[in-house]
Amino acid sequence: MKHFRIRRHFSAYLDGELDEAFANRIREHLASCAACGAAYQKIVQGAHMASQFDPLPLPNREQLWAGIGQRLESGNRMRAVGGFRAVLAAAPRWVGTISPAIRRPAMMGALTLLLAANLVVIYKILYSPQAQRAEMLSHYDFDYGIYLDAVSRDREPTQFDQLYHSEPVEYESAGASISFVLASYALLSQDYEITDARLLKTACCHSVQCSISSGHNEIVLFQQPQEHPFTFGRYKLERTLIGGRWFHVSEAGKYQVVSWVTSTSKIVLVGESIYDELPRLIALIEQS
Amino acid sequence: MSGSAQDELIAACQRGDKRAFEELFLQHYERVYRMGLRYTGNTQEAEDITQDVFVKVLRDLIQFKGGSKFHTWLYRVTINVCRDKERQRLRHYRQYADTSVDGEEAADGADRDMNLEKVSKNQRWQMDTQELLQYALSQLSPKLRTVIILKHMEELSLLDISGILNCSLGTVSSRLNRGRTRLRDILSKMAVDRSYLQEA
Repeated sequence: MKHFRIRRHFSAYLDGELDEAFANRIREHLASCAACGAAYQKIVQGAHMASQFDPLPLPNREQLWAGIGQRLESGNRMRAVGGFRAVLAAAPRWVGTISPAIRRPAMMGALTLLLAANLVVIYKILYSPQAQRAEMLSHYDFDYGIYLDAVSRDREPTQFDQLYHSEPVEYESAGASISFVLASYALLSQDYEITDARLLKTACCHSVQCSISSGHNEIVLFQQPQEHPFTFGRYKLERTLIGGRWFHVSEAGKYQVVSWVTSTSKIVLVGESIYDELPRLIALIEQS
Repeated sequence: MSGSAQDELIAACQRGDKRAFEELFLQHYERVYRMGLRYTGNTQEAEDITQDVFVKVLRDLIQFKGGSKFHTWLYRVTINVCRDKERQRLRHYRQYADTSVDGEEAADGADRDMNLEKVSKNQRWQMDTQELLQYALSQLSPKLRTVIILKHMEELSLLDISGILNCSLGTVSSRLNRGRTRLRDILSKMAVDRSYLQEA
């Protein structure tokens, strides 16, 4: 028998856990092999040393038991990701003292109420008259910034025209086709040549765009209902006092932009030199 | 406790009987704690291990079919928890050592038995016999430590140990050989150190 096979079973031999025949073979081998005998002696000594361990003092049993309870409780809290367990885990301790027969329906009712309250709040936010008006205005307002972007780069305001369904109209009939009092065309046409008139349409109202010229000075005039909002995109308007009145002014490339509110409408003027013409234009527009 | 009484107790635990589980705890907590304490050499960790083991037992008891003896299954759970704890501790120690500026600081921060190389000869000299034995035990690899504990502290037969560790009798005997020899070598070397220090 090889030494390795014998040595492998030394501990079993030492502890008397081998059958008699195999134990005898090991005994015979140990008597004849000094190297294996030395190895066996080390194991015997090691076993003797290992048997010197004293009994250990025991811990506080109650504390251990209480610790297990705590671990189970915290483990349940950790595991309870959804449903009533999560709610119960987060609830104050006294909730646990209520009978489950009452607690569960009560919690279900509370959750239903909470859900209903949330739905009401969401409904109010989304569907209140103010929200609907804000939604409408955000959708339907005129953004003159799109127009200014195009013309300041010497391009046709195609996108602007498409967005507001711009269509040419007869200058004389434009006033009748819109729902607000436009500046007096008759007066306007006395001083300016009206080269183009267009009707801009959103879902809720119209705006009129007129190109007018006086000599070489060409100005584009927008007029829209007073209550309807407008924006100027990235162009920032500054509030400026001109001739004792407040106007909003801005610049888009070579063009100047002036805007103000009359008693009936909002006016936007876009042109290369508006300020010179402004007193005359104001008088003509507001005379009507 | 007879086998049938034990089976009834386990069946009651599986039905969710809290008193039965407490009874089961009372019957077995000593051996779990002893095993944990010998394995780690630290009472706090042994208590942690005991609690972890019984939490696991409660959760997994439903899967216990009674095919093996309950105490065999319990030892298996205990050994697994002990090894997990040791891995956690080693990971923590390595992280601590990595982030520490000073190596000594790392040694101070970790448990003594995890810094075996840091335990100076002077410290060993001050240990009593039981501390030396525990120190030598902690020097063994987890596999060798486990068989030494099961054999010499729990006084289980090699056959039982092979059942717990799910390996052959020859493997258990071989591990026990190595464990005993290594234990003897460590203690002999420490004895030489002590006598050297005594003379100095």
